[in-house]
Amino acid sequence: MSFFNTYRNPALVKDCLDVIRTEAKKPIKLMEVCGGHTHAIQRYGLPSLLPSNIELLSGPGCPVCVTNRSYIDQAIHLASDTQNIICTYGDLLRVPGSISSLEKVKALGHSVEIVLSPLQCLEMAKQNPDKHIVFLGIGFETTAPATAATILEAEKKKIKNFSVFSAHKTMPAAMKALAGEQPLLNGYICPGHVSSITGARMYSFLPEKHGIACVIAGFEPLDLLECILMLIRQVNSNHPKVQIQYKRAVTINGNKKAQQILEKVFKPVNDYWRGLGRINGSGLAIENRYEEFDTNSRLYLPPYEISEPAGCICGDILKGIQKPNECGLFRSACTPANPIGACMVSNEGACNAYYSYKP
Amino acid sequence: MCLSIPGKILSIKDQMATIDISGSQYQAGTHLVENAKVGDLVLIHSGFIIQMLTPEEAEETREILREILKNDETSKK
Amino acid sequence: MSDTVLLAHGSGGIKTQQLIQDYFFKLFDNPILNEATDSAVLDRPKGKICLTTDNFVVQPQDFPGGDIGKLAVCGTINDLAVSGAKPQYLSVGFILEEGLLLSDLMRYVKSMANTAKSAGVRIVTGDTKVVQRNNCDHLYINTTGIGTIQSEQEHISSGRKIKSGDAILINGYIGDHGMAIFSTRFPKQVSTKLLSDCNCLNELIGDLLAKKCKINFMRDPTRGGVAGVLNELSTQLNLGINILEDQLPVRPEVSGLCEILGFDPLYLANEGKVLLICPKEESEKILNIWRKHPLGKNARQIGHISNEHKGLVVMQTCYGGKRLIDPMISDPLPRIC
Repeated sequence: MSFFNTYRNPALVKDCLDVIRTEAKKPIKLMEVCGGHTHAIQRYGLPSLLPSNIELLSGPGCPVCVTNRSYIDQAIHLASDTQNIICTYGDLLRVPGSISSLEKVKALGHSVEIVLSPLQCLEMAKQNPDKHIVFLGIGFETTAPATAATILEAEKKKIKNFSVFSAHKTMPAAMKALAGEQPLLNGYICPGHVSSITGARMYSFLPEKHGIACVIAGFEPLDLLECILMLIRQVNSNHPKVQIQYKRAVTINGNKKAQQILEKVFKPVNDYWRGLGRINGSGLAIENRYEEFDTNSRLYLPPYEISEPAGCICGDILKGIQKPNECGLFRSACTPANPIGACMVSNEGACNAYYSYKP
Repeated sequence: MCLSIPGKILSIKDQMATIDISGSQYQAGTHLVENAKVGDLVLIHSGFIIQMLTPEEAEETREILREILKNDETSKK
Repeated sequence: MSDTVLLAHGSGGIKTQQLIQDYFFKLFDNPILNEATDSAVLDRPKGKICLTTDNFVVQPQDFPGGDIGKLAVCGTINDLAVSGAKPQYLSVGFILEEGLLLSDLMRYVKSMANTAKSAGVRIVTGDTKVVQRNNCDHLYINTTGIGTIQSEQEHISSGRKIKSGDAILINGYIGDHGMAIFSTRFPKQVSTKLLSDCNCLNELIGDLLAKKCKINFMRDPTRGGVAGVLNELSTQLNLGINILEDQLPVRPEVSGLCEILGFDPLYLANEGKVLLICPKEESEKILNIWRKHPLGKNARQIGHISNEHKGLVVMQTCYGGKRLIDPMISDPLPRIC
């Protein structure tokens, strides 16, 4: 496919790196807020190629990492009821709650199924009329529309034994909260697929109010390098603004239909981010109109307390204040096989990416 | 996941599209996009098409990139 | 005979005898087995023997490109072959679930017989147990294999002759088996024409031994994939291993599904691949021999042993960047982010 030739062309990558080296004159701190970007940057070995005065920080854009432990605890509680079948993306299966994980309770015989699409839950609901199917809704504006569309499908198909346990979150609220804490940050590598839904407009407060350069990037090596070059140029010209590098998928206004579906089904609520704390209006709860598909309304959930593991600096890592290798637990107590902090849990977590890809 | 490469719609039935990704096929809902049709290049995420792409846009990006690199050549001179 | 496996088939009575006669003796047919003794009586070979055993619990039992029977024979033959041994005899142990269709069992047994025959290996003894329904998933198969090994090949499985500068070769595309199996788990979401690479490697490897190629190490990258074998090796022998991303043979169908599911082909299982490490100057000779064999058409060098970063596997990306290739923690899971 010509796609790879275009965005993975080694000769163009080399040219782009040459230009970056020439133009990056002063130290620049950039943060990628999307876990997909963190992973791509490590996967293509970009940090070892970029000049040393460009520092890349990994932000809070991995939905698994920012999902609090009590959510996992509650999901485990739901799984322990033999009436329920828990459906989840593979990402959540091994995430540790306070005492167990979905993988461990699955081994004990509880129903936990991996799905590639929330629509599979509806099939499962039809096949198991005497069970209640709970979908664990995690992710940002990229995944939340899929959940919303599935709820609308369930309504249309009059499926009664299906609900969503939503931990969906929205990205701009977190970026805003972080911008206040990160005075030294020069620019954001803005998420690609979140932006394809939301559009580029939602970032305009970042350059205007916080003086932070914003470029929305794709996930291929050339996408990321071009984005970094665009950010360098914004910083050099001292004129921060919102630019789109990922033009093939992102527009100013985004995907209107997906936005409408999202707004129809979800409402913003205050939410707790693992490592970052409470951020106002950053969570997505199911609208009252669709409460029959809201696990919170349908099933009993035990009360919980929010706590963070001792010694873990995930919060500072997500804020870009510290790097994974500066954590006392990193690579010793906290590893991908035995994750303690949120950022080690997911493949896309900053600590996991560091652990996996840093020679 | 986010590192998704574009797929091409092979067929659509009952709002579900069969999408070719480098020779393998993947099922995705068309619920989130307008006017998806056979032959379209699309981005997929968690079982749904989240955005339509056009080959022209891909071409355009490559051109922009060339421009950027060229601008630099001229600015160096 | 009834159409499903019954507990009676494992009771040791008449039904057991019928099963042994009509299925195993008939299809595995060879003079040693036909003696119907408790132990197979084998000639003592010249030199040393290699002994290996493996259990097969693959799910689904029928997968694109093979079935549990073929896999159970190939898997053990390959374990012997990659040790530098010539596979000779197999034993087979069946654990059958009550209710398994006899027609299915017949198919798997035929598949075992054909695979063993074409690999020139004899199935000389076996055992069958039947367990109650839901106590196993259709059937499990154990195979144990005996092969003969020449003294000049004895170092191959340990890799103790590996030295810096050695070339790392593979006989073709990686990840086919893992992805073919995975795609069957989500039949409504994913479809692909990919086939498992499940095949016996003894002929491909035998060609090298016959032509006196210098081989320092071989192993088949099954579970845990290429990344798994290389990490095991680098840790055990404290070797630095360099892999070149642009040399890794991956089919577009595999890499496309990997992108969408969040997998890395380096961690996917293979059932017809061998990783081979040889002196640099020997690599062309080996690749030329391999490329003449159907199972080695796409053989190539994917990396080398390095003096640096001892104990680690490092991949050089297409762009000259570097990244660490970790051992896998557990099976890859499809993910959204």
